[in-house]
Amino acid sequence: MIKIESRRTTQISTAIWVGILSVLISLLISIIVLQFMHYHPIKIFLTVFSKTYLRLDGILENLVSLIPLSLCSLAVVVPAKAGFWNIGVEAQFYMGAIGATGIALAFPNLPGLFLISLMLVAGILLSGLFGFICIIPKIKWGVSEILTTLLSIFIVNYFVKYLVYYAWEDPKTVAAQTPEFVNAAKLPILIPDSRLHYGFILAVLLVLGIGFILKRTIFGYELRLTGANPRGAEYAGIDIKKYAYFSMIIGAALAGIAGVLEVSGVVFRLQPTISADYGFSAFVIAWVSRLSPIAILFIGYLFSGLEVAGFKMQMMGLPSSIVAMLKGLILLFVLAGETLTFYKFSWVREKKKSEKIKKIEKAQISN
Amino acid sequence: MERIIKNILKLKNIVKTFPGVVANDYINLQVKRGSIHALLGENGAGKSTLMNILAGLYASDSGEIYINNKKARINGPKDSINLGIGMVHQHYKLVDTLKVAENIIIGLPEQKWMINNRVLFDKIASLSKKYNLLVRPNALVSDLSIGEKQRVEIIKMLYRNVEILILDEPTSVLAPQECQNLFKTLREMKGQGKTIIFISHKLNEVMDIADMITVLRNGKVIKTMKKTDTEPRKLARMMVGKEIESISKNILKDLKRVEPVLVAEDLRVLGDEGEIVLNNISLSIKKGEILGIAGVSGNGQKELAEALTGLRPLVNGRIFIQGKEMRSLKPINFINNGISHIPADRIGVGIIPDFNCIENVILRIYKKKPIKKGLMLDFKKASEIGNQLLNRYDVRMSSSYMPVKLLSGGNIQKLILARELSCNSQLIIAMHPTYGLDVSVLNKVHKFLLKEQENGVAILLISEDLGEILTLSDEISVMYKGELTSKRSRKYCTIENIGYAMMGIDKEIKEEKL
Repeated sequence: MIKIESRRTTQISTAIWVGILSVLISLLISIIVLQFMHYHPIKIFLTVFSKTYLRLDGILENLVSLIPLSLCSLAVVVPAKAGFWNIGVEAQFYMGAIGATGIALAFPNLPGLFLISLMLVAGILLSGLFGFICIIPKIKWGVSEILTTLLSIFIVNYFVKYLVYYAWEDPKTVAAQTPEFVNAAKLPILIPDSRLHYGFILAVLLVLGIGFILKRTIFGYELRLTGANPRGAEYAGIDIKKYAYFSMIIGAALAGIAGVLEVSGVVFRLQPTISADYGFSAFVIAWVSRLSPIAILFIGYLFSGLEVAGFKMQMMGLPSSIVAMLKGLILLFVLAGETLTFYKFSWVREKKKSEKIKKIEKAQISN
Repeated sequence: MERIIKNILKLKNIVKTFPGVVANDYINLQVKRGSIHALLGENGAGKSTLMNILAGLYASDSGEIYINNKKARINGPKDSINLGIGMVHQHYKLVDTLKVAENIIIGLPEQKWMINNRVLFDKIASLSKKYNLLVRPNALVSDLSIGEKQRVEIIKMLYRNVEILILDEPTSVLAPQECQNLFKTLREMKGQGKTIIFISHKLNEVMDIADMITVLRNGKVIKTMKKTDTEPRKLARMMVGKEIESISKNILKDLKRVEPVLVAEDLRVLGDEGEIVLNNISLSIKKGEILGIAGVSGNGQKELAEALTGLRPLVNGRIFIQGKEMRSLKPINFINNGISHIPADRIGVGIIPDFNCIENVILRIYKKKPIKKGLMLDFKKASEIGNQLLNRYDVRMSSSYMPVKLLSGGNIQKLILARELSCNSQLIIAMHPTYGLDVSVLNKVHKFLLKEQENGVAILLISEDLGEILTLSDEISVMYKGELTSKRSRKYCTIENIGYAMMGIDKEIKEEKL
């Protein structure tokens, strides 16, 4: 009989080995599946692994997608710490990108640093305002913020399409996109011969900064109080509405910053596909990281590696559907394995056996 | 002819563990047929766990149960009922939206397709008469008083022909006179040959009703004895494991010239469902006074405490603190005016369960120097001050950085006291401050409160525990259906006259002729 027991306290080492074990098991299953499909899974995995995690260009490429992933994860974490679900990260990401694009297209003649700062401010304001609007129905009428933020994604999706197909359409190409930014609106590259831009530094600073604010400041303490026990927070005299608004605005603005950095650092124009589902991956990263900003950097790195590895596998001839399945397998096992960090399974001998032992004992006594 | 077995129930070496706790540690128990057997022990002694095993709600890790000398296998509540064991839990397990009669036959196979009301009502009526248990079969459970719900639970078990009836802390929700009725019923049932197991932590009750008494402590049986062979002091020592000192307090006399700390006028407050729960309540508390508010829970006490701390809006009424009217009734304003609150719901309101002890104990003082440093929290200072407080109020924990939710109920309450009594308040609103606490912790809580009172702090003590009210209060008032009787000095109050006011029989606490 299997008995499930709560671990009560979970050590970080447990969490780490459970994570590694989950990934290994999912890889094992993937290998079996691919072997049956007559690919060479071990060869593919080894090549892709060394290309993504061991070689410098692979690592730098991971860091490029870590920028939006970490910021979008923070956008989930801050509201979650205050007790709210921000499902609309994807929407807020695009609002940031829209703000930045608007400025870049409107003022192409401004000097670089000034233009980029202006783009940042516009992105933050637009996405922050958007997050604020999404939380108002919750505070005023108790409408679930899960609904409002989720549905906001569709609205923004159509808005972006309107912009790229009509209002800000690039006259030179037929693709759905805006014209390319002027050079002044492009973020400089951090490491030569790579795509890693200066946004990386900003992202890391923001992750550390938010971590510090949540942990060390009065604001962070009160925000966490509100999330951990709203009735308790109210009892302690905290204005919980204030934290509902602030947490959502800050979260949305962080997603917006990710959008700004993506258009001005990587894509250089607005397209309806600039987010590789960052908003959704961010959700998983945030929760696998247990809402810890520092953990986001590491989990986010593994995740962006997964994204990059996926592209590499496709380049090696694996169909994209298979790649999606492999990614799904890894995720599934990691999430399912989570249970093990909080509970342990132990085998308990069945009663029949103990009765047998008793019989033996009896026999011994009678002898 | 079958031999009648003297012991209807025998438990042998019952062990039950929960993560980190041994709730039942090799428990042996024998219960005589047709007796009232009391299980006496503090909270967490393992009484309820043991009985839940008998009722089929928990499975024991090991051990054997014998009913009528036959080994019994209990894998669920159904098995228990079939073996003739019925339990009335501390929190009743009735369906609010169904009628009394429907609740009584819930889950019974005989009424599978159609409910024959006439037969059913007749049977309920006969049980009701036989055991002096007044119920209305046609009433909705949600309309019943707590005492009536309890009677329905008992009839539910009798309907199933149980031989052994287990009652878990049955008197904790009853007014004194209702207790006497319950005891009458229990004696009646004993006379009819039923066996009753009575779980309690109240000594006087056990001495009143039981034939046999088993004392449990820390999951172990300390001793089983006849009631006639023991006395309350001995039992108390066995329960707690050491001597307990009794607390007494003198009534304050010259309160006339003292200024009131808090005055509330014509408070009208709505409940969670929008119904009126407090109707034109006025009260005043003076410096250094303990005003006790007695009453059966659910008569508006919780809402009163919330209204007086800003957690529940007023429909009507005014609140004055030190003669000044409160303009804004937000919680923060009450806190800034020096009102502390020991809430009824410790886990849900009083603490932040996932936060550690330090983060919880600084909840009232983190916005003051030296913990506040500009926009920052100085966690070094916080843990210094926090640890001092936790030590002073004797909060026992393995580390002050463990989540509070892992502390025991008594330690959680001490932590709340440490926080609420350390912020130089003028008034402490203490709601059920000792509910469910061990005698030793209870005494400590009372001492902490009395010390505050000596320092001139006013205390509004809202409690169901009449003993507590009568020990600590200077003045006493009773709450019944959202109204408050005018307050009376403790010296005119007895269990009887308060009890009548608690049941709404008397509109005021009547003066007893001594």
